[in-house]
Amino acid sequence: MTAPVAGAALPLLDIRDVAKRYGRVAALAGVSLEIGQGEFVALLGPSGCGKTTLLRCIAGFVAPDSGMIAIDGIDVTALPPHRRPLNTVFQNYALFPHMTVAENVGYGPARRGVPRAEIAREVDAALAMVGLDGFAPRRPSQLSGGQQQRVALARALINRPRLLLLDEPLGALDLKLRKQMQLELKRLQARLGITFVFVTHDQEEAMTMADRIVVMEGGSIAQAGPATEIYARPCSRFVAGFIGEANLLDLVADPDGRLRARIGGAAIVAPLSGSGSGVGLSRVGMLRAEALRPATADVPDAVAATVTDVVDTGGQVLVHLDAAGIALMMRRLGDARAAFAAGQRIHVAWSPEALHVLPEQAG
Amino acid sequence: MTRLPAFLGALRRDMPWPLLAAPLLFFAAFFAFPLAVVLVASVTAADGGGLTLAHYARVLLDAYHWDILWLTLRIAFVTTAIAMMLGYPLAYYLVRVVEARWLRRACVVLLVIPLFTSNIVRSFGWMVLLGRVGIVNETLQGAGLIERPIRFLGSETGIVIGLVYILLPFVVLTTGNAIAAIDRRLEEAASDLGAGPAQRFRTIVWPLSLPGLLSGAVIVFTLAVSAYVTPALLSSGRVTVFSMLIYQQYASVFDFHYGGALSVVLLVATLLLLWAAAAIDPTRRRT
Amino acid sequence: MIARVALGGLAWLTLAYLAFPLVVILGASLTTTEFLAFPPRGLTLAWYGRVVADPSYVGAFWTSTWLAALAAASAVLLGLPASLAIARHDFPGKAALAALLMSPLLLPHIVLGAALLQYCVHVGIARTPLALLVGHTVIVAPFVIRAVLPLLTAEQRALEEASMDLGAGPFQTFCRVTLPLVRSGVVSGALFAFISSWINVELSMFGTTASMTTVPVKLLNHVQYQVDPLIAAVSGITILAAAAAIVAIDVVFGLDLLAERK
Ligand SMILES: Nc1ncnc2c1ncn2[C@@H]1O[C@H](COP(=O)(O)OP(=O)(O)O)[C@@H](O)[C@H]1O
Ligand SMILES: [Mg+2]
Repeated sequence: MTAPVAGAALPLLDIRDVAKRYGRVAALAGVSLEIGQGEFVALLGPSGCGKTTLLRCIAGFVAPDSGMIAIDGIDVTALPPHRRPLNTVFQNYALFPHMTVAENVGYGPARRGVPRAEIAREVDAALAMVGLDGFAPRRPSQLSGGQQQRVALARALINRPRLLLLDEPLGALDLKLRKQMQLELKRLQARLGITFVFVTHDQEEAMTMADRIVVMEGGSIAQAGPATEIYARPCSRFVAGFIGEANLLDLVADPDGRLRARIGGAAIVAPLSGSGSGVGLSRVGMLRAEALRPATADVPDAVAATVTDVVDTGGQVLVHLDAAGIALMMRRLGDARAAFAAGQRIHVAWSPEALHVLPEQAG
Repeated sequence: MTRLPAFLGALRRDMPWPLLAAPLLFFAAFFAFPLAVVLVASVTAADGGGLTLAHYARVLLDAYHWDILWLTLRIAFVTTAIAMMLGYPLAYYLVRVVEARWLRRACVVLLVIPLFTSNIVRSFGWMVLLGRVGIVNETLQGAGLIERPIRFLGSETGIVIGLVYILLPFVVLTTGNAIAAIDRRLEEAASDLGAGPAQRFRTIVWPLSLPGLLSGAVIVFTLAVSAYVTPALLSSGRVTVFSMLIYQQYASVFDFHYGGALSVVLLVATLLLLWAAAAIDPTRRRT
Repeated sequence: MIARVALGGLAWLTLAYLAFPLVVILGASLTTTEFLAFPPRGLTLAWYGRVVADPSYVGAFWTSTWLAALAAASAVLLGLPASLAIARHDFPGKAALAALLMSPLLLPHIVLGAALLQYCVHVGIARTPLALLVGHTVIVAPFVIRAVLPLLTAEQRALEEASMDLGAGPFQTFCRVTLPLVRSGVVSGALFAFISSWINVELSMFGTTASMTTVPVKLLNHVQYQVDPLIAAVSGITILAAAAAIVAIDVVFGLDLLAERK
């Protein structure tokens, strides 16, 4: 194998028009996605949007109704799971209850007929890698949730798969452990260079870990791209609302051809979008909560608003505002907590570049 | 010694007597006490005299009894083995292969009907089937497989056929339960790790269903060892199993001392084998 | 694929093996001949008529039925409080007590029957209805305990506490909370108890007399000296009754015992 050449190389995983229906439900409605060697991709979306189904199609547990899946350029659509060069970390780990930790981790090598002594060595190394030295003789039932998670990881990674699939692997852990595992997983992935496809419904988790986020909605891919791009330039209301706190404003084109948001008396001008604009054209603009800042009334385009709620999330405050019937959110650093109180009348403003106009079809 | 009163106090305070009084008294009076009476009779002399082990000597020093005990155990072993071999595939088939819910339910009903029907009735069916001019012999002869009718009735084979038939549902139900409880995701995990269908069965399904199979086997074995009706009906008086010896003593010879010793021997043999089965149970969790 | 076909074949052969004797009995009971014949020659319900006209069989059906009903009722009266004590209280020797109450399931019935006979001779109640009843109660009580105990869970304990917290006394709590929650266990346990008692031979044969006998014991005695279509008809009645009972249970409870747990 030669090192993959960026861009020009064959994608490691090539998913084309994969569709799967369960009765009337289209769990996957034609999904196409390419994933490159060494990428860390997060499949993100609300519960029921088809993330697990897509992952199970890749792993081979679910046969798609139509479409094609190739790994390394080889069509694997018809291959059973045990012939595919990938491994999975299951949602509830699926550790074998009747085997010890060592037997669980050594399961893959044993299936390939690796000699016992060699398996023992590899198991020790894999357990050391996930920080579980000394746990080999235990049963899964004698481990905490976090430890079980590590065993599941070791059991998959010991096979040195080209591709590792993880289905909400951190979902059952408490917040602190989850944050710690997020970093560990990320480091492990960087060190091993294995491609990770990681399912989560937690946008923060996806942002923390992934090189690229694939946002799914109702069995289709809504948007795919690097975290920063999805955050800054979501392509639809759904994506904008799903990731971070977004203020969505209705924009209407004035006779002069400029898009404006009308809030109370003010009419805020949006930057001109590239696509054709005409009188009466309406679009949606997105403004991140952190783009808003308190202002004085004399600042041009400042909007008057009433504070409805102040939520302190520790380190940051989220100020909910009512601007002439339009709900807005403003995020400030935590030391600003004392500056706001419900019922207070303030002015807020933002720089025009912060307003992202969603593409036309998203309206 | 000062702890004893405290212990008794704890007994009095913690025992939920209103709930336990009736069941405890009843089981003491009509279960524990009768068994104790048998035990006592087995070690007292027939003339009402003192303690003696003569009855046990009579049972244990007589090769005839050992032959019968061995025959009884052999029948029970063979019955258990066949019931396991037939029961496991059927259980697997019903849980994993049959997809239609109604069909599986119908099969469960068919499995359970024999359990709800007396041993007599079920054994009687086999008497009709296995007789000299029974349908099995007629079919075998008609097909030219045998020339003269095989004597099933009055042979060990006949008894085993009848016992397997009667006890098979226990294996199917316990094993089926265990297979139904296996999380399919474990097999998915195994196949994800490279295991083909045969390996998945050997490494996942088989070890996880083994406890169910074994608990079914224990039920079958204990019931087969102590079965009376089926052997009595299908032996035509030609084969004697241990329970028949006991019955004779209590129902026609009226030697409660000798009968008691026989009962205790059967009881102890059963308990020993159950204990051994529990001790060698390969599925026991190591801790 | 071949393995699958072989598995299916073996499974269906085994099912046929289970069904066959029952079919043979039902078939043989319809014969017009004076001797057992299968397939039956001619079809008649005359043998069923003879059973119904035979007072000794009618009496045996009656004895079996009241015996089973009383044994099941006694088993509930003993088994329900015992289950509550085991599930809700901690006391020394609890495990031993549970083992004692369940042990009639494991011990040879013929030994129990012999022991009870000898004991009842001592106490002077041998071969009375009472002796039969206590024996049957002992062997069927474990069915009630086994059905009820798993339903008395910790979550349920919380419901009982909630009831007490809301001002209900222990008795009211039992009637209004505990009992409804274990009702299905009581019903299915009692049902198993009834059936196990009804079909019992090994214990009953030590306790019955010529004038007070259960159907299985009467059949046993009959079969041992004569085999005729009358027996097939009696057996047929019990098979049909069992089938009716099971279909009823299936309709009410859904006997999908072997469905995979999700
Ligand atoms: N085995 C199945 N049978 C029927 N419907 C299913 C099955 N698996 C998934 N679905 C349906 O397909 C949709 C997508 O499910 P899933 O892929 O599990 O979503 P996610 O993992 O994103 O929560 C859901 O509506 C779900 O109910
Ligand atoms: Mg999911």
